[in-house]
Amino acid sequence: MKDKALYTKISKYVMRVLRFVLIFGLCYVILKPIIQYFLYACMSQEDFRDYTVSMIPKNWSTFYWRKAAELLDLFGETGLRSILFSVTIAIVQMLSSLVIGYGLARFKFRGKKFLNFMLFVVMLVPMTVLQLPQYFQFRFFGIGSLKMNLINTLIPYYILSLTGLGLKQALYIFLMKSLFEQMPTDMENAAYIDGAGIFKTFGLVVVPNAKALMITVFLFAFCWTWTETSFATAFYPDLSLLSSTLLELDGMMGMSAGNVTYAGIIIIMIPMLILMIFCQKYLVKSITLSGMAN
Amino acid sequence: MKMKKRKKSAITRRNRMGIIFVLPFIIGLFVFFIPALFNLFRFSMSDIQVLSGGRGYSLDFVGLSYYRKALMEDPKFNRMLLELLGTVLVQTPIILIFSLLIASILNQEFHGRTLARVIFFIPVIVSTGAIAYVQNNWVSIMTVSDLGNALADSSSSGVYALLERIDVGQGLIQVIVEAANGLNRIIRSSGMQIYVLLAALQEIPSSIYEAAKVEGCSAWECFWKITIPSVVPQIIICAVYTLISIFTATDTEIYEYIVNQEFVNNQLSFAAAMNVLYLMGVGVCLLVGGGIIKLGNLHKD
Repeated sequence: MKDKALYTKISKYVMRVLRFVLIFGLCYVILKPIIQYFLYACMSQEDFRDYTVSMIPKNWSTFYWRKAAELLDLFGETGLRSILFSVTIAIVQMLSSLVIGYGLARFKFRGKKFLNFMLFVVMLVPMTVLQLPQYFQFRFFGIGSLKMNLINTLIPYYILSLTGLGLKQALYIFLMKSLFEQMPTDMENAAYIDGAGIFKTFGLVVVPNAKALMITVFLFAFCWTWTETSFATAFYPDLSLLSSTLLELDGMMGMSAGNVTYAGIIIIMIPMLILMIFCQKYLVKSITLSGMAN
Repeated sequence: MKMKKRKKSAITRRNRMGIIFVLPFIIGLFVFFIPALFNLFRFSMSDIQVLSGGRGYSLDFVGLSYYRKALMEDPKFNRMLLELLGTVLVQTPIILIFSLLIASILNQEFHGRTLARVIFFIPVIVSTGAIAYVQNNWVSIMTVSDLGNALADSSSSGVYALLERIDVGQGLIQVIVEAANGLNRIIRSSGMQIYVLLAALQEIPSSIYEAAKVEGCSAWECFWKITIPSVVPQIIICAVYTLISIFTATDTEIYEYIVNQEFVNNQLSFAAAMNVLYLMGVGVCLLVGGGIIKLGNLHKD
């Protein structure tokens, strides 16, 4: 009897050590590149050429940070455009997914099955595949002889986001739809009985209940637009954004100073990490609330 | 009776109004999505001629010649497509098993659990788009400090030298190096799945486990008889998500190749044909996946 108690105690202890090693190791693998890029970016130019410096810089310097900020045009037009673009796109995608998801979950109308099926199809078709025909559509946008060229403006992506076809937006719609399917209708019915219209009910009763998931969708939409490059190369190749400039940093600096790219990566990561820390508590909550968990 | 009728009509009216909510999506489907899909097929079977003065473009039907070019003549496309399909078939199960393992560990009580959860979610939002591209294509070439590269570079690491001294054979070393490289990729692409499974695991009431323990169930049996059956729907969601994220990734060789043909070499019809074939590849993977799920269900019945 005593042996058995000792055995369970030891096995419990061993399991705890194993768990610690596994989790710690994997966290290390995830965090190491970020720490490493940070340290590389803090090196001075001499350190970069010095072969004895491998990880921790000998002479700390802000040279690469300044250079990266300058080349990315962080405090100029590019930075401003990127942040405005990502924030507005995230808001547009969040709102349109909310509205479409609510419509698909709550109302019965003809063709709803078809729309649900098409949502699944949109989710499965990689948007990158459709960029060529869409390029032509936006290059010659309009009806009949009235054609506009929307290429090299940001309008195409706003249009796509508004109509639920943005990057991974079908996923957001799906999440919203599952959330509303889970949510009991009592509150809305009470609002209807009290004489509230359909839009008033939506604004005052439904939206507050979807807050956690809305924040999560905003987080995803912001981060994925912030680093997005495929729509950028297709629809607005001449407008510089932080994400597309990052890919060219290396070439802009020449062979002499690769660490600028590391500084660039960290600069681009910072807003996402800050946003993530703020939104963290909503993440698990919203995934549990929406249908994903049930 | 009259009352009931009025109530019913209010609901119908409300349902009719509900279409307004879905209207953006309907417009998106019929103005942008379906025409684009249709045009993709059309482009892939014709030569595209852009007319002068911004008046539009004209198409000359050429049949399946671009498909022939992609499948028979192009030296790279075949290999890249097959490689991608191979990656999907190998990586999806590994990612699912890994996510389930990590989710069940993160579901246990221990110190620093919240921190670990945050850290596991970092790659989902950070390692995407431009950053993923730079990490895969540029950084790993420049540095020897990635886990896999550290093993591969004999001068920097003892492990590779050790393996070589033990004389386990070049093939096995290759496998170990690739596994280490793959680990990085798998961790990066399973953050979302971990979260979904974690949420599902939290939903399982602990009373079931207690009852099973009283009945004499071991932890191993509990895992197979309780945990797995209750997260099957989420595993399917995760499988679909994994497939989508692999196929929509913009840091793959094949995507780069197609985009290059599209916007740099101006081989529009050729690129369209490759895109159609790519889409068919996605379809095949989904059919295979769906078939496996169906077989699993039949087996259960």
